[in-house]
Amino acid sequence: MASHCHDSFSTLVERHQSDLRYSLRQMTGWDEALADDLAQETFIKAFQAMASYKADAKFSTWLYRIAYNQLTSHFRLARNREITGVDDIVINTTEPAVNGEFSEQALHRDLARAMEQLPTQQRMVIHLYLHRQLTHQEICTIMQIPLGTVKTCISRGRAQLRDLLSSWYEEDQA
Amino acid sequence: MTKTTDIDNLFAQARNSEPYLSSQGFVAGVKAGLPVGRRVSVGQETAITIAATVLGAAVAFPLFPADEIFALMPSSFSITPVGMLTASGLLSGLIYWLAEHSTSSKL
Repeated sequence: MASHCHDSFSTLVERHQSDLRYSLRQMTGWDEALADDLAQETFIKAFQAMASYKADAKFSTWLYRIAYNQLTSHFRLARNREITGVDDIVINTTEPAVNGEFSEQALHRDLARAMEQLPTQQRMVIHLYLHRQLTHQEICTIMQIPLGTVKTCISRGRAQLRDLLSSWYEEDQA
Repeated sequence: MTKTTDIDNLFAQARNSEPYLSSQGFVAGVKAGLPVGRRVSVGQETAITIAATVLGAAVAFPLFPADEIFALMPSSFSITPVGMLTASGLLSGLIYWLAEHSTSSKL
């Protein structure tokens, strides 16, 4: 019976692992080991709390909620600062341009490194909204924060990321 | 991939080029971390323990030399002041050790 449960759950892990691990890499400044550890803990917590999962919500929404809790408790334990000064930080592209072409890997890493400069809450909101394209309401549900906070995080996060990723605009500005 | 001017477009590019992360090794790691389910429920386990205890007691009772053991018990009991002090000292020491031990295990 336990083996059957594990096998069924493995199918769910298989289905959602790539998205969740990528999201957590974006949340951790592309720290692959940390992101995978957090993803693994998230799935184990989800398995333990499966009885509390209500089928009227999307499984991915519920999973992201657990992942967000894991992430915040990790950063709390690591005594990560919630507010980071961003004025003097500009993310340089990780790989040189070749005839104006940038590797996809560089884009993912640069985005993650820029996101790392944002407070955890803002980082998660921006990722869920701009990358995962979730609605404001879905983000409210996942993060258990008011709608106004979500909108503020999006607006501030966008502005900060514009400054942090200015190196991606150089060609067009010239 | 070319440079872009808008943060939303940058995220769109990232979304469209998001790599699929291979599940090989990861799923096995998660599976290894999952708690092993109980083979019997708590109620069944309790019932089995009680039944085994009763059966064991029933088997052992005729063989147990209860009369001989009761005969060995003293009919009266006296304690000297020194004995009382020793006993209370040992008891206090035990209580102190238990208190210290439970505090350090909480930390």
